[in-house]
Amino acid sequence: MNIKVCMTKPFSPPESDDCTLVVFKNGETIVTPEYESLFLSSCQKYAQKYQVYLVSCLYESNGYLCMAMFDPQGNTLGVQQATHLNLEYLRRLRPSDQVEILATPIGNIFMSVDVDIYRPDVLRLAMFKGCDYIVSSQMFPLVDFSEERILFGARSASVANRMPVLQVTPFSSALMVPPEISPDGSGFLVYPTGKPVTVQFDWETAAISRKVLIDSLLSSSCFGRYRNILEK
Amino acid sequence: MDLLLRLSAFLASLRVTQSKIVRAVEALHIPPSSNLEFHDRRAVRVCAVQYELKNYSSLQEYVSDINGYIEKAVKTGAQMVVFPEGMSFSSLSLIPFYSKIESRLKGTQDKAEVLETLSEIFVDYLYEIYSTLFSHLALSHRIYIVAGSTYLYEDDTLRNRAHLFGPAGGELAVQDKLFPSGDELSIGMTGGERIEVTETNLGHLAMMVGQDDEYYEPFKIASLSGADLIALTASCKGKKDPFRAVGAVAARAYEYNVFCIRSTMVGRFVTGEKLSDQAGVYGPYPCAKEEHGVIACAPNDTEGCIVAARLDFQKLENTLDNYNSYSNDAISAQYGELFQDYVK
Repeated sequence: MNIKVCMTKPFSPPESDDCTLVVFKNGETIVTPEYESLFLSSCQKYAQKYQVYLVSCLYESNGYLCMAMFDPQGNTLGVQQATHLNLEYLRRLRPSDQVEILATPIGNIFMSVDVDIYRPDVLRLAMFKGCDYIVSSQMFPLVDFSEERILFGARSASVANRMPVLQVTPFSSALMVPPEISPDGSGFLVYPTGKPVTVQFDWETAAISRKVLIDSLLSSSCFGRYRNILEK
Repeated sequence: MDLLLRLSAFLASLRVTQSKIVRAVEALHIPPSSNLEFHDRRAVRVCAVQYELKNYSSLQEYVSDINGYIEKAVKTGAQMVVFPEGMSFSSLSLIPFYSKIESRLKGTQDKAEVLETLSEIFVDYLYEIYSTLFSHLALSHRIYIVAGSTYLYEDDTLRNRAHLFGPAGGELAVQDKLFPSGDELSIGMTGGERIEVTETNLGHLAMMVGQDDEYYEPFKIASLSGADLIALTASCKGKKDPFRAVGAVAARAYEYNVFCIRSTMVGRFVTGEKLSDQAGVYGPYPCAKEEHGVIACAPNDTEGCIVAARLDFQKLENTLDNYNSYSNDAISAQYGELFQDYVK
């Protein structure tokens, strides 16, 4: 299934009229609790106004770091709370223990909140729960931003779980797919760029290679033996 | 064809024997190195080999070429040298009638069939050269050698197995490839059931073969079983992934706090398939921040070379990273449950 996605600054109009999905990049800081209500209602209005599915940037809610998704009618489809936190956020926020997949008309989506994109256990849970693609939103101060942070995180997640990853940071947008289905073998349909991105992609193309991966994990005679280690 | 291959295998077993291999190694007059006389977790010297496949005209030429990589590595102070996946195939050109066999195999469409033929008919011959040669080279140089991998049958089951030889020449550990490739599955190869972590004088070592480095799980098991270092023996055919090193291997080093040495093979396989990949040494981001996780990397993906690096295992004890240091036990437990049903 082809969808056209626009990754852009919060509340900027989509670059193209026929976008299906908009993903907001993060601003300089995450949206703080005092603005939560205003932020979420503005997201609902945006989705309605432009008739798009919308994935929000990062915001704080009830002591959790969150992302939310809205449908073109402005309804909230779901909220994902971060299951892992960077050391700075860990001082004041709580981690969630839920990995939820949003079943939407544009695919089964996992919203990877901030550093969750670095966590293999989170990503594997998402894959086994039927995720078709990941929307990853990360917060970096400029001093920590590097291409490698994206390669270690979102790109690695795409390769290791055989699924597309749409990724935004305050400074970049990118779209990654398993290398074997990217035309140039690089694994990038859109290399990280600071400009707004509008791109069309078919999330179903990765389904076959993901099934091969899941089958090989299921048929491995190795991992059950080490379950006590894998669950640590 | 089958008759030609079987005749070749029979003649090869007469032409290349264990004693001839030993004599070929002895003819090199290799001085034993002192690289392992002093060992310290803060300064472990390792070397990944980017091996270039060649056609050899004699056993002596073959042994000299393999030894050339090790000799260069030893000169850098290497205490452990890692060769790539499928290293036993490096001696294939020594078989009688090789040119005829090669030209016929190049035209074969079914690459899995070629793999099956080679592994069935030449498996004993290739294994004997591989194990005898690397055992004696490890002994002669007095270093650890991860000899890449070789196909072998065990209880009628085909395996792709990596071997670690110690400085006394003994086989210290083996590791079967966990996830056979599509071609390997189609010829009935079986994936490994265990992940071995071996204590060496340098630190704890795990080995992985081929595309096992694309999976999180073996790294987690190895790391939590105490591995400081993972030797990845690779050999990639087909479309090259230009970001594989950083986007997969360095990512695994970052996720699981281990050093990784990845050896590769370049050149053309007997089927005509091109092999191109870069060898390298990788570490967790906080240990190799300046290098973005890539401690050392081969300059190209076309020529044989070595990639040497000095590693500080003590740094693994203090790799606090703002973005990756917290682990959620509840999530880990759910992840572990995924594997509950896999027990066979």
